[in-house]
Amino acid sequence: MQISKMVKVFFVFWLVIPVLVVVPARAADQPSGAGRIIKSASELDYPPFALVRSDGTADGFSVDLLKEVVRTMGMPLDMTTGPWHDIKQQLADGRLDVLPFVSYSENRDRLFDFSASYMRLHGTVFVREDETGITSEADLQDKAVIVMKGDNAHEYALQNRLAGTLILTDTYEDALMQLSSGKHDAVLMLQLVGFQLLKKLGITNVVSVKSVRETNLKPIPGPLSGYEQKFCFAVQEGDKELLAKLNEGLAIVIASGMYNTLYDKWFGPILPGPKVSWQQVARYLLAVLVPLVLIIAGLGIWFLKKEVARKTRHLQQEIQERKQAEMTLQKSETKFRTLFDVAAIPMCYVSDEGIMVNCNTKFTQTFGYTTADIPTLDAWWQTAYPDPAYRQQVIDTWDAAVKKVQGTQDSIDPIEYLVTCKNRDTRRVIISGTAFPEYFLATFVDITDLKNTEEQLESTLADLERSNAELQQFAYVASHDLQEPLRAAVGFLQLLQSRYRDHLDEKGTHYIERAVNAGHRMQGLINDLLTLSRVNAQNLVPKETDMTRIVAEVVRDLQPVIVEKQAAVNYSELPVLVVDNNQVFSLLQNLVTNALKYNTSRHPAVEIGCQEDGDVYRFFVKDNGIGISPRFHDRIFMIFQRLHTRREYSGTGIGLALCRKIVERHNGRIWVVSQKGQGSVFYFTLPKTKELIK
Amino acid sequence: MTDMENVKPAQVLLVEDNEDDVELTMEALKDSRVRTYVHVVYDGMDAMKFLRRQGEYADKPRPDLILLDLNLPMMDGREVLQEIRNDPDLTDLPVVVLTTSQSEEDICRSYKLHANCYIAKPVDFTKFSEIIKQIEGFWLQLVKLPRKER
Repeated sequence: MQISKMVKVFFVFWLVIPVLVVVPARAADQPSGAGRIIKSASELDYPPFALVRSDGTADGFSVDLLKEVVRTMGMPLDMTTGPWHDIKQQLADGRLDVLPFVSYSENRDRLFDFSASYMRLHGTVFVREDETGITSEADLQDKAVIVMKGDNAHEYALQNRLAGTLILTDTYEDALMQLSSGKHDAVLMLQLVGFQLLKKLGITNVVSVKSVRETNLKPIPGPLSGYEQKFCFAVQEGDKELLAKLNEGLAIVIASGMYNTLYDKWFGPILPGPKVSWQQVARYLLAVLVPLVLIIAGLGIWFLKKEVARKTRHLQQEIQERKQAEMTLQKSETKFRTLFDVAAIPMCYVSDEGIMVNCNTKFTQTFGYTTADIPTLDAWWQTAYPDPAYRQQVIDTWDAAVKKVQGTQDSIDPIEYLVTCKNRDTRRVIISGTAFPEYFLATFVDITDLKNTEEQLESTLADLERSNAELQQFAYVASHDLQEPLRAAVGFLQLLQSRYRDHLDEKGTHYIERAVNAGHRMQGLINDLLTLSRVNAQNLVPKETDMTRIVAEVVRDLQPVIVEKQAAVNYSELPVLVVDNNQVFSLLQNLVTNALKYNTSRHPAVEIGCQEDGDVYRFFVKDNGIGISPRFHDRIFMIFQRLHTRREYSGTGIGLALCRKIVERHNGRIWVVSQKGQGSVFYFTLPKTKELIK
Repeated sequence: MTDMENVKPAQVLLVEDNEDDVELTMEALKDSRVRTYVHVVYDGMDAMKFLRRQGEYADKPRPDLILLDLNLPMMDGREVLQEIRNDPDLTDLPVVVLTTSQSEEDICRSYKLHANCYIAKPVDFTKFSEIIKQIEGFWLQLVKLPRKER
């Protein structure tokens, strides 16, 4: 870029000086010159200098440049197109004022006047890329050089005796293709034409020796060496006025940068990119990078300072927060430690490496061990389970329990172990644990006392069951085995009475009768005992039972007594309950029998009824009998307790004891409300079983 | 009486371990109108040996009636009853359970084992004697039983 700028400055300087000299002289003609229509025409096909667009109008670098120059000088332009020989003739004939693109030669200078050259095309030497021996025309002396037959280059080569051998081709395409394929050493031709052809043919292994240094087509001052062509605007011979305007316009267009714009537009796509030297690159880099680096460094330092300040603040805050958190943690740690120490159950933590980290006070109280006694889990196994077989079993059980919860948040299952304490006592302990990251907390529940109590209870229960069974067995056996001798005694007495009647006096017979009666009473007692034991021993057979029907049966069975005593037994409608109907029958039979039996009224009256009372039914059996003094109200329900002599009322004293047993087996209660001489009301309750009540 | 003396006496097997009961039963049977010959065994094992005529009982007759107490040493009356009913040769023998027990369970069990009847011995000898007479009258005179080839 800088190179082209330098060129331009020199060029303008070189061009403008003559213009400045000419301009004052032409100043008077300016008005007439400004109104004139400039007629021009362009060649049909000489890209990129001159060409015709698809709409028939002229285009190309030279056409654009002329248009720009003429426009700059404020002159209208009429541009047409036509074949070269045609338009050249028209200029010679004066039918055209200017041609945009004419190569300067001495012959032509005699026919036309030429503006300053706005472009020169110089010849160059094309060589293969890998060629090292040719860097200028001078190196061609002993080489095989290809040129197009009759071309300027041909003439130039002959005139200057450039080549060792001259190879002639019909076209430059052919020349370049031969060179590219390895034939001969170089091609001598116009550089621009060469570039265009290489591009068109797609040849990449051929380069211009000059392109190594420079690829500028623009005019440069100073004597030009070698083979070259200069391009200028051409006007009619003697049209000095127009020529001056064109030169002036050209200088302005170049100075204004318009020339560069057009140049880039038309030649940019063709020419290889300019090669820039290392020094220049370095100079650029220095010029651009140093300030840039300084700026960046400045910015960086500023930003860094700011960032450090920000970070420092952040860190200070974080330290504060950490201190706070540490304090909170310490507090919570203290709290936890206190809790751990005063906990009512033994606890210890063990790290994942099996180190006993800590055990609490209760642990030491229970087992006698301190952390010093059992520094590791291994030590614990050895100490707490001295029997090797049991130890192995414990370890296996524990490992299995731990494995089960591995990778979960679950607690280790509580399992019972027999732990040996420091004082060699063994204690039954349920051990469970909770795994945390890096350690687990084991908790111990000492169930030794509980277990002992449980065992005691179990043994007591077993004893009770056994004694109960024995009692039932006893009642049964008693009823049998007591009856056998009884029967024998009574039997033989009666045999004595019948077989030895004649040998006995009245007294003897009376004694025998007394003995036999005693035997009968004894049998009654035995039977009552048996009945009572059966109520206890037999399973309840609960059935839906219509209590009205039960009472009706009781009354029917007692009909002879009722008739004999001229009694009245009344009952209301009673509920249906789920009870053992045999037992309930006995209950009511006993109560009604008693009501009639202990009754001296002329007309004994018994009333049976029932009232709802919460979740029970309360039954009553009411009589107008002899009544019971309240101080005996408890005693009457005890077995074999009688309030009367046998002479007054027969009986064994089992009836109410049996009643109480039956009611209690039905989860009920029995009691009496009575005063001596004022009749009695016996109450008992039976639970409701709603779902079965009609 | 002369008629009865010509008739072969009925064979009764009394299975009872209590001497008193044995004697009272014998006394009660003495008063009966039927001529009976009472064989007494004191436990269940002997009862079965008697019925199968094994050992010392080889020449004993087949009884016409068995009076069986339930509570016996060695092998109790319930087991004896079961064996009798399981033995094709013995199964049709009439068995009267004569016991002190009034337990519902004993009664049910005995009938399940096909006792012909269940009688609880009363304490009163007069009543007992009456019961024995009724048993004899019923089982040895009234009912017809299948005849067995002896």
